[in-house]
Amino acid sequence: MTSSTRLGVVVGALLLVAAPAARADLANFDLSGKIYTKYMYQNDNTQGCLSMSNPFWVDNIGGHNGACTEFELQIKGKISPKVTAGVRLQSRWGMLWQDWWENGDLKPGIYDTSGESLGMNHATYIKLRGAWVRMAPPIPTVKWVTIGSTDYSMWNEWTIGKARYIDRDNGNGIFVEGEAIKGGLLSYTTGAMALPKLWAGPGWQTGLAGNDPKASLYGTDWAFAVKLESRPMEDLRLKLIGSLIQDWEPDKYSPMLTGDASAARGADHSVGMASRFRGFNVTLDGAWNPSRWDFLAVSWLLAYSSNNVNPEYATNAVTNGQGFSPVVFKIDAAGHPVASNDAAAKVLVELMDPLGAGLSLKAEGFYIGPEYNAIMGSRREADVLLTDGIITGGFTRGGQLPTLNIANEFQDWDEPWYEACIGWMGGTALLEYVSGSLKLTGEGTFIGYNTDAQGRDTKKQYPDFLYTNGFTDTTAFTAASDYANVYARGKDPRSVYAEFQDRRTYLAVLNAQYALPWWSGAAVVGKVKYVNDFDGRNKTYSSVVGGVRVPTPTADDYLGQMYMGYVALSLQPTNELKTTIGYEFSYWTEKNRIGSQTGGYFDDDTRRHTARAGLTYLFGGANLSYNIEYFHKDLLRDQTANYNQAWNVWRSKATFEVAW
Amino acid sequence: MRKLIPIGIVLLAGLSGCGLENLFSGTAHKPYDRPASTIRGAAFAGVTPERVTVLDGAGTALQPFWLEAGGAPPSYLVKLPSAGYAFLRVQARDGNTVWRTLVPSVGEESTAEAADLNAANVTETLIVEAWLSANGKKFSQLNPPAYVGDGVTTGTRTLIRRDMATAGTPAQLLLAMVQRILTRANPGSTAVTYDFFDVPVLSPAWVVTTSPLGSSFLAQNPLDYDGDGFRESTTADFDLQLAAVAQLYQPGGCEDPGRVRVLFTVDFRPGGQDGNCGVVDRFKWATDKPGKQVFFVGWIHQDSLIQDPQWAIPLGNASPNTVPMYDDGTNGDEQANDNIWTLTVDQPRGIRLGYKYTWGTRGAPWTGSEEWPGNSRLIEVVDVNGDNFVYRRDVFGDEATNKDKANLNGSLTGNTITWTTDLHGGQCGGPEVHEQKFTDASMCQCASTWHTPASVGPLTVACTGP
Repeated sequence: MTSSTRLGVVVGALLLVAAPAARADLANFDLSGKIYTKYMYQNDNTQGCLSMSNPFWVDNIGGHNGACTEFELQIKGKISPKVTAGVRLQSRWGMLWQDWWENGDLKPGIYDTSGESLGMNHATYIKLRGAWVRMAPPIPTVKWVTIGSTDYSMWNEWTIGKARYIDRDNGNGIFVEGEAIKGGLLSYTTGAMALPKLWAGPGWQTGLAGNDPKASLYGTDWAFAVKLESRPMEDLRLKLIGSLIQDWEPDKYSPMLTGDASAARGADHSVGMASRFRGFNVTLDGAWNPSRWDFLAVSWLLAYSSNNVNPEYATNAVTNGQGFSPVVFKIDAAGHPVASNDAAAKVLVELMDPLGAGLSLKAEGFYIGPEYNAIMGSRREADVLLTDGIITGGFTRGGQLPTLNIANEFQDWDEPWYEACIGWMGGTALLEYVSGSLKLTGEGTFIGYNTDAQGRDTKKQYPDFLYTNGFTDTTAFTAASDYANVYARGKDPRSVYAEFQDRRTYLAVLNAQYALPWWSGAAVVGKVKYVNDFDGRNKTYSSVVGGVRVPTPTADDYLGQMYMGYVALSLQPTNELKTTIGYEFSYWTEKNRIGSQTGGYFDDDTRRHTARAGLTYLFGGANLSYNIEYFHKDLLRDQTANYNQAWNVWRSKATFEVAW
Repeated sequence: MRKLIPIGIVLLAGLSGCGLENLFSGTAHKPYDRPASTIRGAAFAGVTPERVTVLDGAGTALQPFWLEAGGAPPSYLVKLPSAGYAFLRVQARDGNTVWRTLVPSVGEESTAEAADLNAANVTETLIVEAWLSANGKKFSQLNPPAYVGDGVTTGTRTLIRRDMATAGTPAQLLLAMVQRILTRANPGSTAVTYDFFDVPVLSPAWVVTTSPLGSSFLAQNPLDYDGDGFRESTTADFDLQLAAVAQLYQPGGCEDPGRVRVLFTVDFRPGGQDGNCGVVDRFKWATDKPGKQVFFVGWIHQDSLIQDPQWAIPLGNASPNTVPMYDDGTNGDEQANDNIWTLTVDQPRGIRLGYKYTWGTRGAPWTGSEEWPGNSRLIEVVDVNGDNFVYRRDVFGDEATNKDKANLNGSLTGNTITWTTDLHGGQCGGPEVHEQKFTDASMCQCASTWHTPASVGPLTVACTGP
């Protein structure tokens, strides 16, 4: 051994001694597991464990009869005091208990009798669903740096919204959180996020050649966002959020892509990038809670959006997709593509029992421009307005979101529904009275529509989602192989534009809740709701009378009235067991619900009785829930246009979950 | 401020590698212009984009993606999708007159300059149209280099233009007629039909059967268009002069003694039969995917006495998926969308080539695209039937006809073919490596006649005189 070698060995040994020991023992691991099982029944001929799958492409996990199980393993590690990491491993959802032997061996085009032919959707493989590292480096102002999976919940519904639950770890990015000025005067969060290749762009994708022949690149597409928060005084909180969504495609006229790699042609072994879609959203919101008047709270939000589609790289889905598009393909008078820009604002004033009599008031005014659109805003599981909205019922909860990208899909029949509120302007007043075990809430809302227009271009620019009027029956909603809800077309919850619209809506809702004083844990809840939805449609409408068209401007007017009553009783016989039984009746009478400007319109009447009973049982970390529902619906239609329909549907859903 | 610098560095470092590079470079990127084949020239006063059209050799209007016309001095500019075009005609209506000018060729990403809409170019166009009509030929059968010549002493265009500039020549007299007629152009005319200058139609005996001039106009408005002091009320004198001038030139060019036009055509339809009369599996070796098309790849065979590498360039020089074949009715393809793909190349007589076909995308490698691996097809460029074409028809993936090694033909002794192997006993016209009297969709049978393509003309060279 030479002297230099000896020196190296010594130095190496010293380094080994001096360096922090790598802690690979189990103490660094925080393991948690969960088994989730779902059972579904419905008196039809479908099989699967998901009430509504995707209506656009055919998959094989949607269906109403089956039992499925998934397993989740979360591993968290504490690498050092300021560095942590975690992963979530989860089995693929979709394998029925009956799916013995399924191993992912999809054999398209082959008559397969093996019972192992349904592909990976039924193979219960374990997939890495999320991985993240979080650290607090000693960099001025920086508190945390996160690299990896997140649900994007650090922004808001008007910019980049929290991913829906099923996508909660699908998003990946790099995030920096810090405090620029201490004392809460200025903190910041920045993020760079990989765009999902599906849904976050024109045609619900960012470069899938199979979906859009004009696009082929998605690995370059990112979203960027920044949030600044400040609390300049104790009573005031301000928040500014800006987001940029950028979908690139290779410039198709790059010399490298159009011919020989000759320098004389300008080819230089590089390819320029052209924007396929660029979306910009910004919000400034604030809350004022004066400590002097603790019964008062005021919050507000200002928002602006700009969405710019390049039709050279994005197929116009308004024209080529029957009006189904999450973005407007706006053009100027000369036919050139331009950005679709608009603003939104809302203010909410809350008076919380100012008189000390149990009476509170909330009042909200809202203005959402006709072209405001948060393409990556929350798609579900959020609500930006105070109102109960149009789409909700008794059993059905839901909300309103400022995006054309709402996702009422990949969900079960007992889950909430969401409607687009783009173009809504109006106000909500909500009175709440609490006295002992009784709580009453009354709401009145008026909605006018900034989207009102005569002759709006729904052929090339504005997506109308094909069905623009009529209450949406979320109870009987279907997701068949082609299009959703083929049996009782109401308004598509995403539809905000119509060729002819002159609309206004009134809402009145009364909620009551009474805790039965003689039975611990028992309560009665009730709700009544009335909606009056009017759309004058075409102001120059003409009808055929005696073989000739004559002006009849009101003959196409839509008037829908919804009457809904709901009551439910909850009991808790034991500490572990809770039961609920409820009933809902809905009656809709709708004048001119279906039809067209050329063929005329026809009336619909809908009556629906829904009864549901359920229980939850919690014991020792195990959680069982079960709901069974029966609904009978009559859809009574104008016999000159269509036949009546009836529904007698029984369905149930049970879930069983244990976590450790 | 000192605090903000590290913050900025941290934020940028934190976000680098997250699409910021593209954000900066892409935002600054100025979109490339669409590659174009451009034609431009002077025009008449009052020209507007709506009046300008571009006709292909068959008289079909093409769809420019950019068209502008007007200005002072008046001019026009047309951008066609980048491709190789031959014998286009730019046409513009001006009241009762239609101006036309010939564009012998414009290539990919290039510009044809000085395609002016003027009397001389109208005259030249009429001469060529008359010659084609009398000879029963089409523009697609002309050879641009032979037509254009060197611009000094050779080529029909050169000769016509030289003569039009020489006093007393027949061409100059015809030009003078056109110029006099143009004095009667009426830009304000809104008539559906026009009076001058329709495409002439001539009989094989050089008799004008459809005059470029409107007879009714001259009947009502006699005009001394030949300058003899008498006003003509018929088209007869003009028609005679046109026919006489047209006979003086050879727009089709003169025969090339050293080279010949070779058409490789490959049948890509399903069900094609190989040399054993068996149905060929097109995708035995090639993989089928959306976006693919047929490419040709060839090279100079080592057995060839001619080894000049310039002849390998238009064949792709053994690089697969670089030379596209056509099935759109252009570039020698006889029928659009019939799944018989065509490549037209000019080669020296007697050269020996190796070649094969691929089903691929531009720039793709051999694997997954070639009709079969390893071996190749052979051709010796010999015009067996003397029609000035070498026309080869193959079936894609056929391993039992023209395949040099591992040939599966049942009648072969051994499994190779040579430059003299004849699989059909002379019935198809000679050795397998020559052009054949082929039967449609079957490589195991022979036709009774030769096929001469009408989609292109034979290879010619510029003539040096009438």
